[in-house]
Amino acid sequence: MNPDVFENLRMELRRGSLVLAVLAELRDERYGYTLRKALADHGMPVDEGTLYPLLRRLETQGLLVSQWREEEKRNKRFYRLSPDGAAMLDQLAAEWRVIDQSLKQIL
Amino acid sequence: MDLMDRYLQAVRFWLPKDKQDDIVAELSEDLRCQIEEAEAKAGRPLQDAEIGELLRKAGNPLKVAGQYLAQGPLLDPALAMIFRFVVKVVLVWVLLPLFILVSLPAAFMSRHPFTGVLGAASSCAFSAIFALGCITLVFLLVNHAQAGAAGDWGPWDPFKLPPVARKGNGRLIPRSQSIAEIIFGLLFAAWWTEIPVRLPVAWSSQWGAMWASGTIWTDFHGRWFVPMLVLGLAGSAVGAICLARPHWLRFRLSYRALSNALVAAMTYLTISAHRAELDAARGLMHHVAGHGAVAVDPAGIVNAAVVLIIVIIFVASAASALAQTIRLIISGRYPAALGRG
Repeated sequence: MNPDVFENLRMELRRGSLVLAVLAELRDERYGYTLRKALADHGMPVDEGTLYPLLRRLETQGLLVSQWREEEKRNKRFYRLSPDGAAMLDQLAAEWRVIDQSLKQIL
Repeated sequence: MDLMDRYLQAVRFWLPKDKQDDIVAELSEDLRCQIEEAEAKAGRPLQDAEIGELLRKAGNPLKVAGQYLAQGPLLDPALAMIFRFVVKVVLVWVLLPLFILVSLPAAFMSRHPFTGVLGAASSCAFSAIFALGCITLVFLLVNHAQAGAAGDWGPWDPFKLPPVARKGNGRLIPRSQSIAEIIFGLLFAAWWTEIPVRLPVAWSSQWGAMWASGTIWTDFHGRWFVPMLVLGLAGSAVGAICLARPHWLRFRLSYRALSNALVAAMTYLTISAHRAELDAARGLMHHVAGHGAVAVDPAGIVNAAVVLIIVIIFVASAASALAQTIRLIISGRYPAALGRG
């Protein structure tokens, strides 16, 4: 088995679920680094080059809101779920459960 | 933190201007947090090698910057950024100046300026389309090869990133200067190779007048044709190298000192071999200054001006070579001296 092919497929699989994980973690306000830590603590490590562009895309889509604020004498950008994002999270979570159920039966 | 600043500078270079500050501030904050956490774990400040390893994990600056851009229909985002950069350089810094400096004057000198301008514009448009086609093809091939390599940008070394450009002290060669050097070198080479010994003077061609160049010019052009051509092309090559390595200040200074010394030597040898023409030019200038240009052959004045220009080039290049050599020596002891001037 080609390890590169596995790696590509694994990344694709994780990429799809990463959006859901990020939206779920941002029910509480966090800044980038603590979000990354929270995701890693839950077994979803993600590098900064992937996370920050994703956060920007989600914000552009109106699912997140962000604010630069000073904390511990340093400027940090805090993100949280917008009302649209919260609604989207509910829908995606429901979809995820359906997929999870289906895959459990198939696998 | 110097290494991190160099990394952030490299990421910033590839980002769209309106997003640079925002993205770099956020990325910087994340990297600082990572460093602080690692330092807290180690109980000591991180060494450069450890920071380098952390940056290596963060990813190639080009790839990181590319992730902030939307995936295009044809090219990987990082490649698309380089594509846009190359197209901008070719269109704005090569084709446009060529159009303005070469095609337009030629068009205006033709019998029908309007059709001349149209002709120049259409040939320029054709060149632009051809250049764009070639560039696109090359990038598509690279993109294809890149896709085969699963988007891997290969190994990169954070320690090879250029030093941080500090505003105002000129420690990096400005990109505009390097691009100007590339264009100037190419234009010089084109002019030098196409210049015939007997040229119709542009404004007098309508009257059928011709300028026969004096022996000093014929000798200078004939004797030093290859060295001057090589210097012109080398100037372009040095500009291209400095575009990619804007921190190579000593390299550029060394080349300039050497090329100016060579030009000074060539012009000196030419002037020494043509003392009589120099004296004649001096006499003619005295005559014109005292009596005006009445009853003086216009071609004689042009040739006297050519002699004086060669003398001025000798003086200017010798002085520059000397100044640049002194700066090179001083900068060996005090590197900050490179940033001045």
